[in-house]
Amino acid sequence: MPATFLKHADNQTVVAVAAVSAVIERQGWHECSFADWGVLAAPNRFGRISVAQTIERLRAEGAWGVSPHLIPHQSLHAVSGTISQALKIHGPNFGVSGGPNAGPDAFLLAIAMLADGGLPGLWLILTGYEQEWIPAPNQTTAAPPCLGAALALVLPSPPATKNNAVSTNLAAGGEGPGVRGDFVGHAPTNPPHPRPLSPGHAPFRQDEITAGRGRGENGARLSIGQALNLFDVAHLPEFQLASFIDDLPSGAGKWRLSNTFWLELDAEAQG
Amino acid sequence: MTREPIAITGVGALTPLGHSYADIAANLLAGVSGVRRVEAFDVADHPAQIGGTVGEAPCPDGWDAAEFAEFSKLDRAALWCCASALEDAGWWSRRGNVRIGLVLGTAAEWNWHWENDCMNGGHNIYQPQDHLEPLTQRTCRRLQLTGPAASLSAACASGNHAIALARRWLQLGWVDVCLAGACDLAITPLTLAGFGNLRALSRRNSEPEHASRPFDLDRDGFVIGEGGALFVLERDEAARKRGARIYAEVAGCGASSDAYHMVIPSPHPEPAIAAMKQALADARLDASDVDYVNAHATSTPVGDAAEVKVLQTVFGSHIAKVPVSSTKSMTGHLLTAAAAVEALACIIAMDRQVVPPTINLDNADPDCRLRHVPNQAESHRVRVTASNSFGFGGSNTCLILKAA
Repeated sequence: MPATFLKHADNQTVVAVAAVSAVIERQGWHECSFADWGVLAAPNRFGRISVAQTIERLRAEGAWGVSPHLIPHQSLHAVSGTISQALKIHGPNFGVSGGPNAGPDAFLLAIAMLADGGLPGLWLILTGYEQEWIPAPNQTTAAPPCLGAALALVLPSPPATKNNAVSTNLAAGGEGPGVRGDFVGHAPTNPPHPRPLSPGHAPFRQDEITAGRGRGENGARLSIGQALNLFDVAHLPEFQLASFIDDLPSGAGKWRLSNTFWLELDAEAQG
Repeated sequence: MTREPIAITGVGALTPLGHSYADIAANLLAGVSGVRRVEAFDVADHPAQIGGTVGEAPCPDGWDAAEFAEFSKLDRAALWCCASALEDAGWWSRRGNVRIGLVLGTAAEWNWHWENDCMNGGHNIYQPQDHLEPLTQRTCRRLQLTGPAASLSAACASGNHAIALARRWLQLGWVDVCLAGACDLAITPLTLAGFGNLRALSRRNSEPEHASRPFDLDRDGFVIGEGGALFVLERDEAARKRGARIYAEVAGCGASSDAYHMVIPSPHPEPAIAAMKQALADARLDASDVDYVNAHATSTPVGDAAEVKVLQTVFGSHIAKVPVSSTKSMTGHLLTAAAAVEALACIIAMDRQVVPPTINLDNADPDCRLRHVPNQAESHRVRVTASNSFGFGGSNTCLILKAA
């Protein structure tokens, strides 16, 4: 990608691209093509900082103060569109939610996308802020660090997942009143492979969940955590029962989706 | 997952051409323009000052008007579309008996809320931790729907994705009935200025009704619009069993990405061609089976010409026979809601056996050689329609509807 590729991108787009890049780097998929895959991205509070700044500029400068890059890069489609461009993905791409329910909405839609086996696989990227700068208009001190988070998941098409489900790597459950009980998901042993660009490339060894944490604004620091394997789609309709809200995983372990529900990734943060 | 046919049995809409099926159909087929000067805020310093505006969403029957008026304009629009679609389908009074899901295309729910709140003196944008619940959850709660709900955006292609996903939810057995479509109230100071400064919008401010001119040599950009359309989808067999009116079958859906640019359509038509071919294959139909194409055609020279290449390739020699029109000439470009409203235009074409026109098509661009329907609707046998919707981020979609 050229150096200017992310020039106008939102922080969450940058962290999402970083998480995807980390998966590719770790798995040695540099020579793999994802051309037939799809990509879904589910950011949380996407574009808020830019919108806040733009409203101030609109008030100060009028209509001409609004950047022409605002809509292409700060709308809900921006993360998935950018990743499709970066990976040369020609399958479908779209954004999900943009709000605090982004993760659960994304799972619902991703599984439906994969259900008929028409796609060999799907990138699902969840992003949000661990710590978010609140750009109050009268702020006079320097902005505090803004921590972005991204979770990039490589989802195989469901027939292979169902037929080969043997191990457990993703769990979901809850605590408190109204909880229906925990469940665990199963991971495939033989997921479909990305199409090789050339013979002898590194095979698609396993599905992967990668959590990224980055220091925002200038992307000064990024650390990546990793977990392997995925889930059994048969269990995912369970998610419909919950009213999910709130944050992304903090790199590993439990992802608190709401006050009562969580996802537990078999993940370990590094760095 | 089954492949059982999925039917559209209810329609609810809020468009620049009206808020009821009958009004929208009448205006669409009469070639009425819904584009006018934007009055909701001061547009004096905006490069583009016109839009396809919708006014106020009506309060659904049986709803407390005072309570309805308390909701935000976006909430009212979504509620009107959903409630009137359920009423139209005959599910409203029985909605508690079935699992009704919602797949909603909406690109800027949060941005819209933050901007609207700020412009009205609020500070919600600075306090995201105090945020309200998502639009889909609010809508389901207020309508007392018990199925799953999700929102998505592929920019202008959102509505087609929503319909395709609702179809899958039904085929997976996750829902008994599903609302699907899109809603977007994008005529705000930020969006009008953003698109205007992108030089994407027509600046024909002095004659709004003539500004949206898809395929016309004198076009100078698109006209922004607002509104929404929601459909009730259910299994065809179940719909027939209960004697529901079936508007159309959702026969096929196709989607692809350009992977080229966030704004500019790819000069390589292959991805968009693939989306159309995928939709036709999904419908198990040939291009020659299509009786009407509702083109994406926004009224930008680059986009219109790129789509013509796609249509010429997909349809081959049949392109000389199949009527093609862009209803954006009348509604403006409803962005996230465009695909859903254009699916409605296809339903109307099948229902009335009349193809809606491309108005303001006075001087067809020689690079856009198609079987146009210029300025006046045309009686035509319409059993199968194809509706293209392409969006920022390189999304290409095609929806095939088939008469019941």
